Amino acid sequence: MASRSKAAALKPLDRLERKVELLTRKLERAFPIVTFIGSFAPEAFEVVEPIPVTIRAVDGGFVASFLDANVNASGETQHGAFANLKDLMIANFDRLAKEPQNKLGKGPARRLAVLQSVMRRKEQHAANHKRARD
Amino acid sequence: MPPITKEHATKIAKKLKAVIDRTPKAHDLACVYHEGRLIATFGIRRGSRKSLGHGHIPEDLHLSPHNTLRLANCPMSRDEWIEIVTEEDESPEVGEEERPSDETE
Repeated sequence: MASRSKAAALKPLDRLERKVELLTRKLERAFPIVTFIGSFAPEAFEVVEPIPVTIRAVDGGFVASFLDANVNASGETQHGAFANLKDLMIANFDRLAKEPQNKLGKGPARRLAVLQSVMRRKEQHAANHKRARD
Repeated sequence: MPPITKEHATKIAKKLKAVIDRTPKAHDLACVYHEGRLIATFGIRRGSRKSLGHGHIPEDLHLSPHNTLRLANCPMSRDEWIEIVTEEDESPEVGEEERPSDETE
């Protein structure tokens, strides 16, 4: 008898706990998080300075953004979006750098300038360093 | 509002006559040109699922999610989108100001 009433008393608590859990998850998804890119390893790029990244929930997944350069990427998870952002930053860096300067619109030109201020190719940095030494 | 997916991104790339840069990585890069200048790029995720989330497209295209869907689904034309982007391009950067005239009376 005592155990039955104890079980009955637990049900509302279980429901309440579940509700709190759902609300917590909802809240976590409602607010963007800010993190930083500290490395592009194993790619042949390195970070000049830590790159701020905003990750927010969108449409059941996540979008990671480097707002200064307006580079954005999607992913099923926060980590997936973060990894995809790094991939697109590299893709944009390479692609925009190949284009003659006078063929870049204002947006892409700005994007390239920002990307070049926060990241660089490893061998380019090593070559510049060697040239400066010699 | 329905989510923005790879299917929408692919339609948009086609409508904007984007040149697709195939990379060996997780994305192809769609490059949009206008009058010989590269005016926008956006990533299209690799993978066979048309429903792959592409919620990042609106920011890349300087559009709201609603207008991104309009661009994918035909109500918005390439020319209308070009007008939006080139208007943004022509707006002064932070710190850019019109120089005062040097003319003296």
